[in-house]
Amino acid sequence: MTRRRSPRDPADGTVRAVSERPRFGDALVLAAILLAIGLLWWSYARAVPHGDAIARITQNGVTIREIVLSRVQAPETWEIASGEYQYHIRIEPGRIRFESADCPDQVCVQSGWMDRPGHMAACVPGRLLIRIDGEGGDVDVITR
Amino acid sequence: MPGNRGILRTRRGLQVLLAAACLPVLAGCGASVQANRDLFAMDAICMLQAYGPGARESLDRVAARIVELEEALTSRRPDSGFAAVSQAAGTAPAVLTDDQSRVLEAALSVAALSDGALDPTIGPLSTLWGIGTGREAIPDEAALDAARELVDWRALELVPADPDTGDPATARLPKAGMALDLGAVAKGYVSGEAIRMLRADGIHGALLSLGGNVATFGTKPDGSRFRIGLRDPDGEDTDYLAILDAPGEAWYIVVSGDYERYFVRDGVRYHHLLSPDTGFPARTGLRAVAVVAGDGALADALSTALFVLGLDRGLALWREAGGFEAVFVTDDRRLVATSGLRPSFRFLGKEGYRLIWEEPAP
Repeated sequence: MTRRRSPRDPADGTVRAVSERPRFGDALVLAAILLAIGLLWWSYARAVPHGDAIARITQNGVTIREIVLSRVQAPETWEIASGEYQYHIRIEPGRIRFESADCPDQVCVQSGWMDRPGHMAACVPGRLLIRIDGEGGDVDVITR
Repeated sequence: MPGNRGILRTRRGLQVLLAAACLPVLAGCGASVQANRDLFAMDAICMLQAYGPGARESLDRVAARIVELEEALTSRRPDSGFAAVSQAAGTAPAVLTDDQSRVLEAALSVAALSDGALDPTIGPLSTLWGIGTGREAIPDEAALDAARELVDWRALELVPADPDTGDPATARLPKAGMALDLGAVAKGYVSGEAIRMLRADGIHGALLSLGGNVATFGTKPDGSRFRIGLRDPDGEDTDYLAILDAPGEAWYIVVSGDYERYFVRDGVRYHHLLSPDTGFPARTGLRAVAVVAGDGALADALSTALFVLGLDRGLALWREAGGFEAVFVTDDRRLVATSGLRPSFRFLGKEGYRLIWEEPAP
């Protein structure tokens, strides 16, 4: 308790005598810092897409499934009901589309394949939407 | 107590460090929140995107307002919106909300500009054709003539609200059977309201698509411009002919095209953009018209008006009235753009298409 030693001193067993008491507090503060850094990284990672096209399927405005299109291994036909209607959504490596639907206007099916950010297709009667998010597309939105 | 002071000093040091470490996180939370909201309203999908402090809460309020406006501005449902005016046609004036009054004012101003190419009293004709309802039919001549007789924007009596007496706005259609249809203005007005709210909330940038009616202001978080694809009339929903880079001020991009709502009989396409003159879908050699303006209702109404007017009369209106820019897509594959769009317009050089720039009158 007399002289402050360099905490780096490996030879001295009583190193950090000064900080003996606050050790628990230190750990807490350190954990808080780490948490803060983690949060920062997390918010950054969330805010900045990594260039992958992500297909977001929403029902009545609520996201029900997200698919990173570049990571799709095997083609899949996803069957889902929305409103009064039944849909087949085709998911292939790099792209997605409404394959078939029993909705009255078929606008969603006619929208065809989507593979780039900014692409979207919606079924208004069934309130079902597929939209591609992510950076790297040429446009952010397409007019009707 | 030198040891204690040491601890304090260490603690304070750590506190400062902790605060420093938290700062960017907090700053990040405050400045660059990105929020997305999708909702189904006005017979369409509405996609809302906003960046800035409180973006999520802001979009929640905007979504609620869109739903409220949908109710006030619909022309089709018999129990809401403008139905009261149509039902009282030939009798007394009906009371309007402020929103309804402003939508009618915008419609009437474009009706006057375009000599009735856009007509808010087109209700009897649009009901007769029923395009987009699933009960479409080609009307017979007698029915068409009767409906055309009832379409006349000049006869609509709009009395604005009186702020002195507190009297609300009213509208009256003088002949029984007349009916309002503000479908060509409502979405544009709603997008204008949405942008106004977002700006008042201090949002940094937003991109909205109300059933393909695009509205935007500001930039993306990285400072880059929003890029709007102009849809290819022959392609799928995802194909576009050109890109518009939004400059940062409030911008409304509305397209009227023959591919949006239509039905086909005997190989002929009947679309929803009806000519008040002929009573038929307007055939003016255009596939689509995109209008870019600083006002949503105006952009929406003008896109319909210009489609019905056709290229030459549409360009004449641009030269005379100004206040907007336009891109015409003709059926012989010309893209005719007005000169004010030069800094924003990127033609993608699609095969078969020619780009032509139009200059203002000398």
